[in-house]
Amino acid sequence: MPSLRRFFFLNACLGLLSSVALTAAGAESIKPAIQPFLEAHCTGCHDAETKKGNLDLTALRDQLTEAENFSRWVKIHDRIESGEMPPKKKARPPVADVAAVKAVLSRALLQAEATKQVGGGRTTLHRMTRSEYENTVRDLFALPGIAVRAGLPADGSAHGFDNNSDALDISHVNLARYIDAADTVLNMAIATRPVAPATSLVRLSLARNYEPDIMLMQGDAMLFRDKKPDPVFPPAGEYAHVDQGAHEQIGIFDRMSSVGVFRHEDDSWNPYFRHFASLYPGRYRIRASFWSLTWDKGEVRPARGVEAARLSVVQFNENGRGGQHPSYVLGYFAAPSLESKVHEMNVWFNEKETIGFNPASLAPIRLYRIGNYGPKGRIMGYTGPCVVSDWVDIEGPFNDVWPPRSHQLLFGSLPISEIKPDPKAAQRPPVRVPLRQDIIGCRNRPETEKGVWSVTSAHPMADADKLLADFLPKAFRRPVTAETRAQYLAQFDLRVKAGDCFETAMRWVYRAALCSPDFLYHVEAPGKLDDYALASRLSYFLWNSQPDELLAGLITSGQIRDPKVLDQQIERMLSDPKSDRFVEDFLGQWLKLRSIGVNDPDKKLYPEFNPYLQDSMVSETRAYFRELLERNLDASFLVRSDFAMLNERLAVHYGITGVSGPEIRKVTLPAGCVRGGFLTQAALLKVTANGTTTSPVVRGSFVMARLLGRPPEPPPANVPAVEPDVQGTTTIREQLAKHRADPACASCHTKIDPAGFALESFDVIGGQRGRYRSIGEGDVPPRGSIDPRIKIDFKLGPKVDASGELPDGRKFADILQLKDILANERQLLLRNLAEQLTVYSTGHALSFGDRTALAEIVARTEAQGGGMRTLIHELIRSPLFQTR
Amino acid sequence: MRTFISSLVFASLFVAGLTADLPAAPSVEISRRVVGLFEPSRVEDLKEIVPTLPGVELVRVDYASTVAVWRLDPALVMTNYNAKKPPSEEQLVQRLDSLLGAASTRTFALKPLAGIPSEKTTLIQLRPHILDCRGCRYAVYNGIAKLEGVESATVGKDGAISARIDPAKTDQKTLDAALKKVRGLEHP
Repeated sequence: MPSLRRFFFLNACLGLLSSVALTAAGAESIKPAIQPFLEAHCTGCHDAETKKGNLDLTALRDQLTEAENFSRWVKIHDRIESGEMPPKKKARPPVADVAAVKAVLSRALLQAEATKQVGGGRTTLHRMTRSEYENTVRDLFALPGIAVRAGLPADGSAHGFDNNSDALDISHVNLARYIDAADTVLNMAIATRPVAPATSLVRLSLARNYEPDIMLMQGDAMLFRDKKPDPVFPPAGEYAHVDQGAHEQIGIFDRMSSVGVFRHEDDSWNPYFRHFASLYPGRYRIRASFWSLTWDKGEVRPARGVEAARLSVVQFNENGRGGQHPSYVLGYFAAPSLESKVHEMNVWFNEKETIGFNPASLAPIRLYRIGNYGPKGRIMGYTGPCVVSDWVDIEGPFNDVWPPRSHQLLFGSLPISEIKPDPKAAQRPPVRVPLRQDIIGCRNRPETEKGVWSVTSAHPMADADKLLADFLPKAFRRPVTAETRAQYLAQFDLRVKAGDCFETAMRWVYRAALCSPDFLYHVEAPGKLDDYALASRLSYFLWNSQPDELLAGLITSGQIRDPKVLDQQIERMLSDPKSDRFVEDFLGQWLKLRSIGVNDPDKKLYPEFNPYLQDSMVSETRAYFRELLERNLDASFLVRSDFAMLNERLAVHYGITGVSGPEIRKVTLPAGCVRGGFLTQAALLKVTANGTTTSPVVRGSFVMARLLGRPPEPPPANVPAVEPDVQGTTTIREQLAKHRADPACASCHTKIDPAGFALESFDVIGGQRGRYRSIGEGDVPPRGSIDPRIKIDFKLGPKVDASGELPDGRKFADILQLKDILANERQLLLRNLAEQLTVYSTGHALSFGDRTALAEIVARTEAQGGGMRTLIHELIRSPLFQTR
Repeated sequence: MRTFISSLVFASLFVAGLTADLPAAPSVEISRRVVGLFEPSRVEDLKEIVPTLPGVELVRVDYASTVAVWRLDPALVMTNYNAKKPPSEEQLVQRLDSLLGAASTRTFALKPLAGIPSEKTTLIQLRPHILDCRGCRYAVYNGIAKLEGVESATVGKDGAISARIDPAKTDQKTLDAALKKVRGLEHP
């Protein structure tokens, strides 16, 4: 640029800077101010004719009140700031020119953003997510397992998270479901009897069940007594047992024999304990005894190691006639060799639930034979592992107080009295549906209940007012004005006058409160958050739920903003088991763990995959994040570490020896191991694959967006996706090389592909590979760690080339070298994590104007060692967190 | 204290007097064949069950003929016993059959004494392929025992079935066909 033009350009910039500061709209005139720069360095490629990268700067308007224009100018600012534009092969603009343009753009963008946020703040009003709703009612009513999430419409997602204000719309469908959910909560919360249901203990055998007894007949399961085959029930061999009903009648399955299972759960078989179905929702204690063995054609031998038994909660459908599938997994439990191990846990049962069982560590084999289908010798011709369930005890429901806390929250200490039928009474009694056990095969029965019992009040209006004064602030997470309370009280009065009894009228009011914006929305005034909003934001961040009484007390005492107190609370909250919800919810979205089950790997290509492996993957990633938090490790650990959180199944998958049993524990990795860090965890490698093939583009984009905070541009329209070849003839790298020959594609793929190439060392289930698996051409593979009972149908195709070159020219030969490169980008990794946590915790995407505050958080964290826990403290202390 | 004891004695005498006035229900002895005795151990099963049935006494049972003799106290056996209108023998048998069935998950039942003399029955031997399992033996027994014309049946440890039939009412072909309907035997 000639020096005179530069002089005028710089002067114009300075002039603009002042004018921007003066005008509210501000940005309308930025373009003339930087026009000389654009013409000198940009419009050569980005004009109407060339329009490189689909950008025509001659046509781009600088009206920044339009969201699309605003984001385009932000990108232009960022490209100039990073030095990416003008491209390196072009003449470099003088540093002062670049600084001046950046300053103009920055001021204009900030001004436009500030104008937009006037009166609103950076985050708009938004409702709770499904997950937040469920956790909130669980904590508010002390009903720790109530399930209402599934009944609510799915939340949208924006900027990677479902709690983002841009995604949380509301419709009449939501409102209808909120009413249903409120009824579900109130039905479970309100006591309808004068005394608690009695606690009972039942011992269940897997033998007497809908599914296992069928399998016992044909040889997929076996009865044992005293660690030996039960002589009353010989193993099925050449002949199977006949007529299951006859065996049931004569009591073969009622002898509390242990049941050894050889067959893994599959699409047509999900064993569960049918004799019990929870009638009274509540807390129960489960005890279960497992062991394992190697079955050798009729002989019992020591097991190959510690096998794993999975317990789940199964919800019965209708009357329980078939079709039951696990609702959620309780855990994986050790089944040691020839030695029973008893496991104990506390669970919450909702109505009509029981326990499901799966011999999780076994290969998916079937020993039953019907007609000519199945192995001839059945179990007597089989040698292999077996997981044995001795029994499962279910004890409960446990109610340490009655009426339960949920009822006391709603009705205080008002008496529960019997409502005598009286046709002349002015008020209608509450409607009660008689409780009965309608699950086929279940043996537990409801207690006999006589009469209709309900809360009664001698002074209904006064009591209702008192109850609402207590309940509403807890539900709304802030003080409630007398006017608001009066509105609810008026509704109560209306219902009573309409003939409702005290309980029914209060239900009406409570339901209204649970469907009100005060409950459903995160109420935050623009500007600095008040104490209630701060406590609420803190609690929804770390607990995915409302503040507890301790936090509420700190608001009342005015201590919540005291930095020391705030730090103590963060520590307390992170140490509380409720913080598992944060780990689950945040990782589920940041690292897409929620998508882990979106596709099932191809059974021919990946026969070793099973649900146990998948659940272990998720457990590993969660445990690893927890470890980073607990030890306050720095951001380099996001991609590289010398340890991993493994159980036996995952260790075998990773080729690591010396890990036994299903419990996840910290394992020091051998030197040169490719594992360690999120980047090479099987869970992430699975969510970035489609079940059949991997794509460097998908994985590269994931790394850029989720770990480095540099999401690539979306692909241009009308460009077909590169489909990997599973026939084993060409590699994805060869296909992408053709794709990148087009300069328009190359500009993005140069940035996206490198990390993806390095991750080609891992298959769709996160196993390390040197060659691609193929269902067409290729060599016969070695069995490796694949269970010898699993049939291998795939072949080994072309070799994997995991080398690559980053856009800045740095080269790597494999994933280990890439990890080293990325681990040295600690600040980049930390900044991204800070951004992800900010978006998640504040419910809004990071704006242009937030960058300075974010940089301060990162700098302050770095100054203290860069630990993850420190980052959370710094984020919560920051104006970004404490301002709406 | 003395007054209290006197009252107690008086009350006891009064109650005893009332009870003495009631006519004791005469016990009834009946004989019926028992369905479900497919192997000797089942006799023990039957003996275990009977004490759980109020008012029922098993006088004797003959495994070979499957005939059992029962002594019943109608007042305890019948739910709505009316001394003025005692139940008939058939009503008692029906009630006993019901009680036995409920207590044994329907593995025991009663049926009338033999329709024809033993010497007029035909012995049929069947040999289904089953495991050495009590449940399987019961399954194959169950498959044929309730057929019309089957007077009695037993199943050996090896699965061999010995059935005495009334040749006028059934035959081996019918028994073979019935066995094939036992769930699981159709596809060994």
